[in-house]
Amino acid sequence: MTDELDRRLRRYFAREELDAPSAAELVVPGSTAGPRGPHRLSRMLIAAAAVVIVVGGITVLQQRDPDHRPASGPTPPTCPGSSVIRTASLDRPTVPAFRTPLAAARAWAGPDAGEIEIDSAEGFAYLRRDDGTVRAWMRLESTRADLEEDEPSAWSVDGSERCASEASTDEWNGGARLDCPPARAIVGTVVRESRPGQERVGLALEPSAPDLMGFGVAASIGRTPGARSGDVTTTYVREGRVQAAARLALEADRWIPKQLAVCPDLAPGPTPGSDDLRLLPVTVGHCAIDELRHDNRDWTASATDDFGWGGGLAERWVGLGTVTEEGDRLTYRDLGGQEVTFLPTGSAGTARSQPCD
Amino acid sequence: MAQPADSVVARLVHERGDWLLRCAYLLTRSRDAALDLTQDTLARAWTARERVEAADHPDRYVLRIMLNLHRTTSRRSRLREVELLEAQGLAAAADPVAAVDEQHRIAHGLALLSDRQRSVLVLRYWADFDDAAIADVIGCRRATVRSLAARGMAALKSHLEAAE
Repeated sequence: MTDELDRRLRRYFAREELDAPSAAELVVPGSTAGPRGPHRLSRMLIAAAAVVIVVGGITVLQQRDPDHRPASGPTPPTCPGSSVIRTASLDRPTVPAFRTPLAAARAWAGPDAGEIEIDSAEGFAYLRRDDGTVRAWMRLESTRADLEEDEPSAWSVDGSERCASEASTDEWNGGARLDCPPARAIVGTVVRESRPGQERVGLALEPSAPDLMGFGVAASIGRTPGARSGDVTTTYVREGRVQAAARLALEADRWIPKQLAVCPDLAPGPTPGSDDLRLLPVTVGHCAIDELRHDNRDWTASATDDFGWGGGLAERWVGLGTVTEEGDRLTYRDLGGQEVTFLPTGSAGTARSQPCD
Repeated sequence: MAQPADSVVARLVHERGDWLLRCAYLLTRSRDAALDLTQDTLARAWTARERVEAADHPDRYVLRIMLNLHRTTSRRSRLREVELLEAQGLAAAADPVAAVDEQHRIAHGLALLSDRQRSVLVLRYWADFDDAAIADVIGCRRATVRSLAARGMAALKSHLEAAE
């Protein structure tokens, strides 16, 4: 039967491969050649451009027509008064891809950009002046724009314009504002901004995908003036109502989320109500889950629960969840319901078979 | 830095592009998914092109990237993948009915295997890799390859017997 099954499998694969697509449809990374459809080609060019930027420091602008616009997709807003300065004037020669649109926009705009509003549904970010008027916008591109919403992605800035005239977002884009999609889970990325005499840090909340690699939309950024050490608490307010509060602690020059209180209508899974929910942060690198320190023990994600190591464009991010310890097994469950088994560091079952790319 | 036209990735696309795509297709059972998987693999290979160049078997190195990418993505879309497979039903095949049924049965059986089991069977029965090469690509011991293959074949056999 085994020999017969061998023959059947070989026959199956031989027939199946006939339906495979042709290599002529591939785009060679680093090259702009390739006969793929406009949407796929656009995406691949963006991905290739992002990769080239990350590795070689070649700018997007060098590879793209500055007047390029996607063949399809949302219509970019137009600055009232039509006094526009092109992207290059922002002097951001390299823009890597980031896990969230907010991180991509912030990397592009620089630390002095001030508030950044993200309209991820339309793929734009807005910079405002202190008086609330918009002074520039950016068009955001996802390297996986054709996947489902809950698929992981990497974001980069595809273009931007700086408005010379006074304008409000309302005038541009039909009153587009930050708006959280229905949240299924809360994960966060620590966002930090330094200005003379002011330090801002916050946890950019994201409704996450149902797995750890998922990402959502940066919803808000906390503001805690003057915080340089110790713990800070940042609150998230939308439509005049507090949505969540997070406590972060500065450890070794790195802000670590310690607690998160989520309003019931945003909190999935174990409803925390109005009380603080003790959550453990799990940090995910570009291809692996970092070790966890809990109950004075070091824990490592089991090899079967860890990610692949195919490399990645994404920035690090932090997920939040609760843990249950049972002997030599720690079960981490994030607020989206994703479970990851951790084992004592160094024990069998934690060894990664391959290094990261 | 190597120029795009003469990079190791460009050479791989030229010399092994069809091979990589067919492997991706056998893993994903979808033309679009195979294109995406291969394209993503090449993008990752481009970022690691110095290591790809230095590898004893660059094609195996890239294949390793592909398999790990596939593991990551299929974990997220496992349910949808099975539904699509059943919905497609291989209706577009032009073979006689019996052959179509055979393809369908095996395809369905393979879809029920774990990603690693399916990868081992693809590499063994389609790519004609020996156990050492499969172990190198998947990143495990040869004994693990044999175990994955045995369990995959047993599960496939059980599925086929139930279906027939």
